[in-house]
Amino acid sequence: MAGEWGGPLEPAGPGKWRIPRGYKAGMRTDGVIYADEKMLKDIRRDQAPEQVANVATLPGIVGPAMAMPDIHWGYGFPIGGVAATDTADGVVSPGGVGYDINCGVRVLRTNLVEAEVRLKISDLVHELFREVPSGVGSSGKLTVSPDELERVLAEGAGWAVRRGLGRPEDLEHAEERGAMAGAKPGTVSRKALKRGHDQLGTLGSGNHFLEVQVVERVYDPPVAGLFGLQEGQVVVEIHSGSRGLGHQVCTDYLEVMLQTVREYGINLPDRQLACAPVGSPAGRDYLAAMAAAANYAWANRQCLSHWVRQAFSKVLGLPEERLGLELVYDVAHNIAKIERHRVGGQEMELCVHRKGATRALGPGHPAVPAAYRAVGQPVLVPGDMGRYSFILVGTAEAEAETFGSACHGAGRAMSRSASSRQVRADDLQRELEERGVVAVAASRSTLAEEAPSAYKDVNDVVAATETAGLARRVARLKPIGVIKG
Amino acid sequence: MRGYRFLDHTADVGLEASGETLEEAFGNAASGLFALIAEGPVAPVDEVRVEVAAGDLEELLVRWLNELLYLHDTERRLFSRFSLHIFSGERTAPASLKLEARAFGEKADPGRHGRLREVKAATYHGLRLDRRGPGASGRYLIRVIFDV
Repeated sequence: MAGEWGGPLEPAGPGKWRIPRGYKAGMRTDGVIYADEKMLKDIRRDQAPEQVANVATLPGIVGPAMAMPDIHWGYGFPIGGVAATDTADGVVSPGGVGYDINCGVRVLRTNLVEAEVRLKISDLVHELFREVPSGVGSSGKLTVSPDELERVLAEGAGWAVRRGLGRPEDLEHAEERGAMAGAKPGTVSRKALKRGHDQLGTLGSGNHFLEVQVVERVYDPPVAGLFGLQEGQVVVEIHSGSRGLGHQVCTDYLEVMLQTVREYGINLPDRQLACAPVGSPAGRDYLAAMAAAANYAWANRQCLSHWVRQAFSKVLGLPEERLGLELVYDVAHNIAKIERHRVGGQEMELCVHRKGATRALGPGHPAVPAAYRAVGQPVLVPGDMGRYSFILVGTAEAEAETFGSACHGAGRAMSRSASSRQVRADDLQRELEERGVVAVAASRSTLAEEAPSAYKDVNDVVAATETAGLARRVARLKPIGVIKG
Repeated sequence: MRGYRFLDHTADVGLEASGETLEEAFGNAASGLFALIAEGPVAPVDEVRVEVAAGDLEELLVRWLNELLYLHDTERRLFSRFSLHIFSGERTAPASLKLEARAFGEKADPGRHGRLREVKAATYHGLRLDRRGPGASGRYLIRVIFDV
């Protein structure tokens, strides 16, 4: 529905391409896209690079407007977009986070090897499908009272752990320990609360998934060892977000910010970039509501993990201690955070927007869990349901280059409708089974829309990320069981 | 004629809707939204009143669609018929435009309605609302991208 992008992409270093500031009126800085040369043709196929240039017009942007190698066409920001703004005179944009606030990924490692799970994989996948509510409009097994929902918004994954839906050590291994500071439930609208009260502990639909995977290849044994990963080991990966509550928070604050844009006289090339100064009442309220929605998402993934542990225990007839299922890490890939970074030799407080991008901290950073601090933060990069997913580790270069950010996934190569025209759900299910993947989906249309052929090869994405120095490959995971919403 | 069609967008779904009047185009956009969400006939047995106000037509359109999404997400409602009025002037203050609608439909029934996808929101990106064709006979044309 939009043509090729014909603008300039100048080489700017290994795996790095620049859209110069002069490309478009209003750009306050360069745009930078991280990608291998062979990916550029695909990237030019739609208007994602124009969206990078649009982000470069945001007031108070520091450093370039960036996009990771899994860049694709979004709304407002491109998917894969990273932009930092000065908290003193810059803006925060809900469109730079997206509707699914704290959509993210977690990986749990088991003490099991593939052979122990293979025999029962079909039972396991069906049990997981029963235990973990998924699909369009799924409501959860939990209905929380208004008071309790407030605690979820303030306490995140910690709320779930205290309710017995997890282990205290889970919190050690989640970004922000599973709860962002500064969340104010009072900034979340009644509408958002109403959408959230019965959706806690649901996977959702679309690209959200739960996969049983096997560590197929280890690239960096010492780092993999620290992450508790070895070849042949079974792991579980969960991809979900803040459900309707987060969607409504974004919808509500976009409306607010369409007004603030007028009040502050901010000129934007796309209304979906609507924003407000970070320190303004609208900016502060959005960040407080966004943090609350992010905490809902962390509580959500924590609840899902608990039911995964129960399902494994039931089907394999083993106690949880024997299974392991310890949290390796949990990352947010749709979020804005107030962080301190060195810019031109000076430390600055920035509002870092990551929309379809993962935080990737290098060795020694205090925010990396103690167990991993010597090597850096695990960066979880899911691929498609047929091929593989990756675990990377953050680098010091990423901290200097992208405010500590890396890619978040494969990126779509084909629209949902194009994929459903080409793929029949039944054929795909059979094809996957032949490849050793048992897939169950709440909706046949989701299965067809999420077919592996609709996605880029995530290996290309992580290779380009590595070329640019933003993260390094640690392990590759292949799916053996897939649950789609 | 259905009054709407879907457009390809890599990550999301685009919708084009048209109508002889603004109201008809807004109604067709809403029908298109529910065709994205579920399949199967939706009987217009329940009526819900919807009111939204905005500073301009584009904003009014996005608010209208997002209000229907909210009703769907919280009450499992599906809608198939809309009767709506858009007006401007002093009565609408402080906003300059107001939409009042009666939306007809029923609650989703898993036995009869195939759930297709979760639509997160109607977005402002690439939003278009204009009038095509000669003079008073022109049709209103809407383009909107949904985050799915």
